[in-house]
Amino acid sequence: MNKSHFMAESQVRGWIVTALSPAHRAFISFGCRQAWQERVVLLLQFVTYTLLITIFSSIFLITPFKELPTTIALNANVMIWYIIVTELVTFSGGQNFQGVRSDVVGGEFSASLQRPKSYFRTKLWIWVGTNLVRSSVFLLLGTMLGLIFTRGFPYHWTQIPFLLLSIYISTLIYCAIHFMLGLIEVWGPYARSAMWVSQKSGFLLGGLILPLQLYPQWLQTLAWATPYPAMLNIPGKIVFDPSLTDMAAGLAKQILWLVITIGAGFFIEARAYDIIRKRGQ
Amino acid sequence: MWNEIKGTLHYICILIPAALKAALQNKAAFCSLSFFMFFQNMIMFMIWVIYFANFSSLHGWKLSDLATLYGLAAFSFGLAFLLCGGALDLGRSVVDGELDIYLGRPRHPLIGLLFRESRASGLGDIVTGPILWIGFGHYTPLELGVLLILGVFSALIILATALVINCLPFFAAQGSRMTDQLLESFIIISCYPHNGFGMVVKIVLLTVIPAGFVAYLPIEAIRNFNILQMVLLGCAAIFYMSLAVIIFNQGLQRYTSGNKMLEVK
Repeated sequence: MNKSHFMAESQVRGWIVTALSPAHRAFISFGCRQAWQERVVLLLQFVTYTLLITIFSSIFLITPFKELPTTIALNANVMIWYIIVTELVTFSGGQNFQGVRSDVVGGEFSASLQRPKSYFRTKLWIWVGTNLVRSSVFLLLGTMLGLIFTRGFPYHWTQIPFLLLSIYISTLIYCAIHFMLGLIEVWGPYARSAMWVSQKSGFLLGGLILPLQLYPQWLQTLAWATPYPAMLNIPGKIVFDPSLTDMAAGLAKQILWLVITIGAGFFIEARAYDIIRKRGQ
Repeated sequence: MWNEIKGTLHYICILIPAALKAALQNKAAFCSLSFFMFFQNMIMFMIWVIYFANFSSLHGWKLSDLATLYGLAAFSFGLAFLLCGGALDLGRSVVDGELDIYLGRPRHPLIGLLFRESRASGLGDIVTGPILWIGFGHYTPLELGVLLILGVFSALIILATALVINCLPFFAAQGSRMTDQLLESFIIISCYPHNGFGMVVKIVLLTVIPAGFVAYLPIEAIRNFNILQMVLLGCAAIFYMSLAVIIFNQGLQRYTSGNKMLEVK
């Protein structure tokens, strides 16, 4: 029993060491430094984030929540914290779509064919670092805004680890989706259009502004068939749906969607490489 | 003076079709950008439809008011950048020294810079407005006509704001990095109702950041059919556009050449 336990433990440790090779560690550290380097952009995004939270706080404060059925326990304060978290995910995820798209147009993506690690693999590890810095910074600002607008902190300490993990996984799903959208440029100049539609569909189907619980049933069913609720609704709803089983189930769904989106990313990247090999840059 | 105005208008009438023709070079891209812009506007508006399915009103505003606001904001942004897409790239042109090409022309450089490009997505935005007004607003033909005129005023205010934001690189080295983000913030403020804000914020949104003039005030004007407010909007459009031109001229004095004079010919 002890021996098998020891073997399993060393296997896991071995996997972590293999997964985080010096190259991966270098990419993560590069991502962290890159996020910090773009402080000016980050500062301006703070302004936009603050503006959005201010606008929606003012909207939620005049929303007649009393009209909702008693089964939906929402009020202005809960909704303000909800939107703080959902917007936090979109801001922490960054605008990676633009970067991928310009790398395709500029030839960086084609050039990555000659490198030992594929473009997506490299970017993914860089984003692991970038999102770490961005989400930490936005989390701090979001918490401050939440405290200012609601004069209270609605989370119990046991929810915090779930919330942090959930937000971080969401940002990675967000990046994987952005990668696929940016890569559409390999097939033609359609990436921007696809991005608009995907972004706004994500806002609607993910429940960026209003929780999915307020949607008609058919739209909820449609939304849960997409990765967007895993990206926005799951971390957002922790504030009004704090049961441990729900949080664990939500986290499991997020991990599943993270695996699916990353897998889809590698699949699309392989197709894009095939096209470039046949057609040239 | 009259001849100069006539000449400028003639010049603009040549530039607009030329920019549209250039944008239509790739018809598939133009149509897809327009369609998807319209589509994304509709998706975004769905959030308000869901909101009003759950709540009866937002401080007196109904879905028709939100449709008017969203439609007006889309219409004006579309109109501004379908015709004057160059305003969005002005900051980058300043940094890259591309202004040289326009400085060598007999007309004011701003005209060439603004009308040099047409944003295809603007057409999708323009279409969004009337569809939302007709679909949700139930307006009379007269009110629709007034909305179109108010939309032109709003487009001028948006253009003026985009111009001022894109003049930042004239005055600050880091300015070009801020332009997109600042314009995005302006779009965000313009597209949402302001009736939850306090008086101080409302004053700021009608002075320093003229976002209140883009959609909120026009909606109030059309809701009450207040002619005075409509005239005020027209005056605000002229004022902010003039201010933007003054700021551009001030910035131009600080401009240093990008050594691209050879491209003038």
